[in-house]
Amino acid sequence: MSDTTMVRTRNRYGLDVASAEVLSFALHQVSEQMQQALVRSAFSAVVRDVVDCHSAINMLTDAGWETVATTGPSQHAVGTGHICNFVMEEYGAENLRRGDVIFHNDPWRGAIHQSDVSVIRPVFIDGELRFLLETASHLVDMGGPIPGGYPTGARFSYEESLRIPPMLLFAEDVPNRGLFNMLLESTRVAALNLGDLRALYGALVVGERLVMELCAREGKDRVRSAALYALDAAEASMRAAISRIPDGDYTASDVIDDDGINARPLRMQATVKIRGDQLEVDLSGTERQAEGNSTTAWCESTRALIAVKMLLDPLTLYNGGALRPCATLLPVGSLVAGLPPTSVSDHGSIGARIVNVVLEALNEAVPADESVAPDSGNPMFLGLQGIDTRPGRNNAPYGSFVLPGGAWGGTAREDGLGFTVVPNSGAVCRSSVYEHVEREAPVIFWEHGYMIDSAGIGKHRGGVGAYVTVESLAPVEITCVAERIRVGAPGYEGGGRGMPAMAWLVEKEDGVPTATWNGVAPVSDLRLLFGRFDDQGRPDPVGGVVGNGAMYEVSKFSGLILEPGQVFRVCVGGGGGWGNPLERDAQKVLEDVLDELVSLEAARRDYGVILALDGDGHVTVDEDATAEQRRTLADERPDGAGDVISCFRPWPLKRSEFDELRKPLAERIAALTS
Amino acid sequence: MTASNSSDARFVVGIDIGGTFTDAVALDPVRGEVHVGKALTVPGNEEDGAVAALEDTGLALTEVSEIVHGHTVGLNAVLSRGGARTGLLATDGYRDLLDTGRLDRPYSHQFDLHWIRPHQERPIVPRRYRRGIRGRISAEGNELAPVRTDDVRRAVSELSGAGVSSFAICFVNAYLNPSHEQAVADLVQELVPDAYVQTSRIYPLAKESERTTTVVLDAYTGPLIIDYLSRLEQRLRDEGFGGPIWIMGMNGGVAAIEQSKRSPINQLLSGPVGGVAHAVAASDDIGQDLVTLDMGGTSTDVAVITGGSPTHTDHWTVEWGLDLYLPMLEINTVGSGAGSIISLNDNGQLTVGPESAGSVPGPACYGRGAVEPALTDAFVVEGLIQPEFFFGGRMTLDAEAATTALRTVAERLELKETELAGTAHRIAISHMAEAIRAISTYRGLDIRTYRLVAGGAAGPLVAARVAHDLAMPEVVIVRHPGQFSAFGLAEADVRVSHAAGVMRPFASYGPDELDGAFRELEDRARDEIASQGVSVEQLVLTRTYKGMYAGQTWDNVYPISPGPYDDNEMAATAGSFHELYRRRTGSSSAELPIMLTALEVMAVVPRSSVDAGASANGRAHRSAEPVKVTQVYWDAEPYETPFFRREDLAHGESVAGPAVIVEPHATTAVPPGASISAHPAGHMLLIWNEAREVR
Repeated sequence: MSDTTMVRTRNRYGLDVASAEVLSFALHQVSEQMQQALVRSAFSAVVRDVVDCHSAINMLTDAGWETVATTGPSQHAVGTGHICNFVMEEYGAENLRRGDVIFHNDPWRGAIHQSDVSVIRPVFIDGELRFLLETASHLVDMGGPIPGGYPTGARFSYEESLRIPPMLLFAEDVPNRGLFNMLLESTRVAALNLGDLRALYGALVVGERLVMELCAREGKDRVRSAALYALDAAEASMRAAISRIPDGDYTASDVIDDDGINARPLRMQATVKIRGDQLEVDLSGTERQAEGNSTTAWCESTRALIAVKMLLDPLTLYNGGALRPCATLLPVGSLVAGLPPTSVSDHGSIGARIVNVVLEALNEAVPADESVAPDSGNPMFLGLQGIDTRPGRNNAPYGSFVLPGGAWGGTAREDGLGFTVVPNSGAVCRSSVYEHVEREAPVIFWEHGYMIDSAGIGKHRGGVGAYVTVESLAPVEITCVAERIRVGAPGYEGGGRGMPAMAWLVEKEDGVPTATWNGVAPVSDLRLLFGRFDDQGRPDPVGGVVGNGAMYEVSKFSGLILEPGQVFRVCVGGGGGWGNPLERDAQKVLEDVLDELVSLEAARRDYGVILALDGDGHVTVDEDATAEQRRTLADERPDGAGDVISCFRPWPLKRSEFDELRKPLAERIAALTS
Repeated sequence: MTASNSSDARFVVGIDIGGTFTDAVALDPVRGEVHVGKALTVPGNEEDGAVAALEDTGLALTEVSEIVHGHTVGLNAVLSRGGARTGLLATDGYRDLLDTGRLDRPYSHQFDLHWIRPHQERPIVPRRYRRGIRGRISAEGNELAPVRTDDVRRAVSELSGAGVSSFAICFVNAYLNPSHEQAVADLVQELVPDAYVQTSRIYPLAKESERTTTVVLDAYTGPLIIDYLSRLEQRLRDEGFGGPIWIMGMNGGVAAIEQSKRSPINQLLSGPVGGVAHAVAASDDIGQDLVTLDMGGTSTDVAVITGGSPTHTDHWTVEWGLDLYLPMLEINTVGSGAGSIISLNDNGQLTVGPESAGSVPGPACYGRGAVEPALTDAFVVEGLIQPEFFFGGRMTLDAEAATTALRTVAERLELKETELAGTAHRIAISHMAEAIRAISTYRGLDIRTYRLVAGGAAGPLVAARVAHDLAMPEVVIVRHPGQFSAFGLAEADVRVSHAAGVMRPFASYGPDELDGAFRELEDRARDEIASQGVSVEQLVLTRTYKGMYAGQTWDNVYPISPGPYDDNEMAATAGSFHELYRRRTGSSSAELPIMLTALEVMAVVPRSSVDAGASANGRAHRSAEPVKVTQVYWDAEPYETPFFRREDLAHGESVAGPAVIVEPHATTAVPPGASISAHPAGHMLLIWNEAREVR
């Protein structure tokens, strides 16, 4: 029996179980209400639609400031306690007054990167500091060479954007005009920034009111006791989960594509050391900090623990208690604990991959039916900024963000999820509303759909990758941070790799972009931006070369100006496959072909499934031919499909080849068999 | 309302189809006479259950003037994936909107690697039935590229060949310019005359993802709903009923059966709406400011009514990523119901719900073999539910089984069964209180002067303590709480809403132009009501607008006076926007333009209010005698507690708690510290002697 029985709860917390549960749930509800106020009153698409923001309640315990309730994407959730500890140690609790709001965005004080600004407000009950509320969000612009906060090519943090140490944004609810002026006058989209800063502040005001009401209603000491109970319960849950895993050291490694400057992969390594009910994630073996901005300061690296949470104890409500039995060891001066003044703005690539590598290490530790294949890399960040030069738009500055969505790997239980902000990068972040984006920015979003043959093959295939096509109506400055362009997401347990990411400029015809078929378009319509291509410009993840004839040799760029009428297309890769694809139910392969997620060719070549027409002209599985094809493939791939990388092929070179693809499936099958 | 079909016909009958039972309430609006009926729901042939419930009231159809109906045929089709074979014609490049959702997932599954979006796992329109149509409208509403009719012809030919009989058409930016959608709809209808076709016209506001799922849900359920309504109508006509049939919508109002077939999605889930309609209809008697609490077997629905008007919203998540985007009553649902399972998780934390025992096997006390304890078992162990009174004695309860089931959990917590029952009861109450706070106090609404209205078989069991938790001093227990929804149907108003998406700064309107824009909507609403054969003499019109600051995308509904307007009124409207906005979000931006995103008009024809003729409460002038006195545990403390029959309570007489009031389909708990009295209008009023202090 665990620690949280009725009697023990009463003895330890002075509460009955019902009160402990009810009050800790009420605190969580407050963080949800704060988050709603923040999202619904924000002005920028990155907060109001994408929800790159969070709300948290922190409380002082024997372990320092700990997060008792949080709502928002995981990248922010893990860091909020660290931020409060850093800021309070420096600022001093004795200097805080009711209505003060402290602002900062320093990565070495716990911010993820300088674009993620953090505001903190004390809650005093009967004159005593009881809680610190924190909200954080990605501010559309914090200054620097390019808007949006991902200045590829920056080597030092000074080149990236403003970096502001903790200082008052509001003093006793009066705005600090100096800081506001600085934030608004040094950045490009002042109106969005002002609106979002107000939203961050307003959520704190809402949170303060609700926490104070809760304490008045239920008693401040009871609320504190319930918060301690919640922390202990999350800790107990995590300890119990770790105990279920055999002691040992589990290691995995991977690479990120490049740092945006040097076209060279960067190695990452993680060793998870499990001892009883505790664990340590040691990131030693990870390469030294990079020249470009793909290094992270350190807070992002503690997100390694998200992987632990995901694989071991996913469903318990998260709070800081879950972190207690876990430690992360970060080699100083490496990619995961860069020393100032290195640039750190591309937090997404490294942060997401840390989670991926730790998951890969833990795969070896957990029972086979809980393992998962890795995902498509980072969430693929797409920023569109500039001045709207169209007539009647008054040269209004705009800034918009779009997440094309990545793909999760296949799992031991089912196919991977497509169209998701890869779970390790937040999971609860959302897509933009294109009907809003098109009103606010001089762009047309022509397409956002599944890319055929992008999922890593497997008994449970990976999630399907996605492509996005956008045209500009005025000069648009594009920032694109992609990952896994060199090689797609690895599979697991015999599953194949996902398709790597790639990007193009697209030709137009009759005033509109030329057509795709599930993301596939003839090479003659495309100009290569990045990806792995063969000498004729076709995507080729096996024989191709990164940058072959493409504009970029790296996976991340900023400052690409899309002139009016130009069309940009980017494709996020697929998730890795889980298990041997020859064991995949042929019927499921047929369904995927009917749904144009897997091509007729890939069904045969990768899955060994051969389709035919029955007497009524319906598409069915040719059982005999399939059995034979699968036997052949089993001989060729005795260890599974780990070396197979998904990609549509043969990729069409010319329009005529492309037009063949668009014929009805039955017609194509009939042509093959005749 | 219209005249009845014969002079004998004096009853309006509300028929509500629930998951297990179909309820009927027949109400004589003049004399206040009420008859109730109950029958088993017949899945697939819901009209049989409806007619059976009607018969169970003991009335002949010749005595019925009108029938008002609420059902869940549409929702069942979605949940069981049994809807029409539907094709989606989307803007080329957007056919995957159904799968993308908004990319996100519920917070509760933030770390869950195995979570799958419901539409990926169980699509309502598989990708093979979704086709891109070339052609594009710009964000200004202009044509960027013409519709490719060859795409439409090929798609329709292939899809109909595959058995698709229902077509959803939703194009990007169609909310600004419906011409492409309409042209394609016309072409589809021409190519397949029998097909069901729906477009964005059902609610043409921005947000391509939510609009697409709404149109698709309509196309998926519409043919089934229309077929059901036709069967029901035929059946009632065959039985000899000639009066009007009204269908309840999610907007809280009824529409004539023919009218209701135009946007069947509006009746996807109309059951819980009935309870709110009931409270609205009774608001003259029971108070203008109300919070409703409708507790069923698997969940509890709560709603807020201010000044006699319920709150509206335009967003409901059917399943994650499958959003319904329509004007509807705002009802917050929490997964705590009478059947909620009481269990311990691996860490010894006690949970109540959201898993439910359902009707089979039901709680352990039903004696159908359930081992896990449910909330109803806790009520039995506490003594609140005495087996002989349950369900009017028509069902036997096994109290021993309830105790045994609770013991399995209680032992692990080192608790007595009665202590566990009290604890579980309290957790459920706090969940309901939180659900109410989420739509009231968390938005800055002070509900301490509101009354809590209890409905559902179990609502009156928990209402007093939910009210206490919320510092609400008074609880209303309506007549026949067990038929809360059906009763509300019988009383529902005719209600029509019309909206126009505008996306214009508030300041760009002159007072007369704004008034004119609302008048246009009001005229449309008036015409629509008149076209249903309803007199518009008593029409009540309410204007609201959806607004936000320029540059935002999350709008909210704000009140505005009926008009006409002058400059002062316009300034007051803007002022109240800033204030209401600040109350919700903690900040405001008074220097920024207010953007109007939509103008909305709600048109209501109220039914004449029910005459004060109590039927549930007795008329005797003697003091009520308890039918039983036994030990009941209140918050784990034992009290000798009298049980009264509701019909024995005399008007004006007050019974002090602890007490329990029983009636055939509901039980009312009166805790120590509260008292209850019968009211001439038919309801009971429970009052806490001392309101809970909130500083």
